[in-house]
Amino acid sequence: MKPIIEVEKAGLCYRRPHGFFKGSRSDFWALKDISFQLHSGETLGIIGRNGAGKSTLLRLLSGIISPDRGKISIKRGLCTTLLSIGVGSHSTLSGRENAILNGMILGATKRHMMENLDQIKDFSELGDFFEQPIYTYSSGMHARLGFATALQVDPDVLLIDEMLSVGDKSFRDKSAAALRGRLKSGKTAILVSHDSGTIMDLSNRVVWIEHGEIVKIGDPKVIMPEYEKKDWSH
Amino acid sequence: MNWKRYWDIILYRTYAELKSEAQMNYMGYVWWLLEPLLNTGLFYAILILVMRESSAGALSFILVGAIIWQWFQGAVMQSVGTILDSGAMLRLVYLPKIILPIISILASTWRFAFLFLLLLLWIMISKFSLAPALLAIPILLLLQFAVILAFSLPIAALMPYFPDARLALDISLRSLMLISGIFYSVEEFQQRFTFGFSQPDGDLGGCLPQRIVGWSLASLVQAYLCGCPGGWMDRGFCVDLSQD
Repeated sequence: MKPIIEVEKAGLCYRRPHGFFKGSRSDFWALKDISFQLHSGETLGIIGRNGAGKSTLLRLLSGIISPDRGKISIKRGLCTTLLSIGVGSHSTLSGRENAILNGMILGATKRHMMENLDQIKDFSELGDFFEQPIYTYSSGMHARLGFATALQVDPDVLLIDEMLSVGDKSFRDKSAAALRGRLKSGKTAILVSHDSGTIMDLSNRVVWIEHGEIVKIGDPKVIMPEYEKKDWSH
Repeated sequence: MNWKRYWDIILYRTYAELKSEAQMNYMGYVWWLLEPLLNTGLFYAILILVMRESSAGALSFILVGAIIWQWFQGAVMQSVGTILDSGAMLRLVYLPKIILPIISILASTWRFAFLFLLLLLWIMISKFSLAPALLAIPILLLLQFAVILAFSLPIAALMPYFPDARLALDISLRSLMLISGIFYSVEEFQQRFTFGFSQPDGDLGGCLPQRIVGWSLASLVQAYLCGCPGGWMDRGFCVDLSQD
């Protein structure tokens, strides 16, 4: 089967900003020669320590940044979206208006968001607050609206960076269950997580990254025990 | 590229920006009207009371200039920092960067359209006489819009690399305003600032809409290069008003 995403020897370099009087520029390669494939219906887990390059890889795959070397081939017309909460929100707009705006920014059409507003309102449990400006919201309410909106954006490939649950205990359980349900329903996804249980439970394959390079790639049942046994003190 | 979706985002965020702006102040949309009126009052006071310049119809002369200048300045100043200021969002989602300054330019254009309609209404109620050259106004508005885009978009693109440019731009625009058509008539402008372009051909008499059509492209370019983006159409109304 032909992959829908193919990453070939992709590398990304961050050029550290420098001022006019601050000397020469320094480069940092966050990713070096990353290669893997993603097939339709697959959930790929990405693991690695902080600073390994996992989030940078997701930003590359969502098209936010382009590789400085190598190539990322994404099937024509395929929509990849990094699941984010409350991106591009306007504090003076109502929850309803922000849901439409956030959804459009995340990749959905205005029509799709308009059709799903009732579901967003129900899932976020905001009640009458849904019609109020979001500067009147608590941080939990912000998170609930953001998550409910993001859940309704239905990209071809879902990119998730450590965001499986938000809000209070009951909403955390509800949001985690909703996202797990989405992933287990055969949605193509790439999932970054530090939680071994989540990776083991949801991923078909796992990519282990350290210092911007792939250490191993394969079956989570084989790789995760090895990852957990790794002595990080060196 | 899904341009339909991007266009929807542009329109929705323009609406959001206008609504946010109105809700952030107690007087809301009243500021759309109040700001150019206050500017006009200030410029009028400087011109008439301080510089002792006297001219018939000076108030309307300044008002039209101030409204058009405000469109230019507001659009430029609000749009140039948009890419830089949206860094947090752009780290999370992919959006073509060009749509960010366009949102601010459209918001400024919407404010200008509101004021311009009021201005037209006021002029028609007062002393306005129709001239065939008024047909040039839509072209001038499009030209002005093109100048705003041409000025704002490259600076907005460069701003993330040279954030200091915002300060320099602020000072530059203030300087530009002082030599703009708010304070000088086109005749004075031509006499004071001639940089080697051809002098306008055609008749200089009569009301300005007629002159606009008769003048050469070189003169038009000269006026724009010298910081007079609103200094054409406004003169038309003013000369008309002052002639009564």
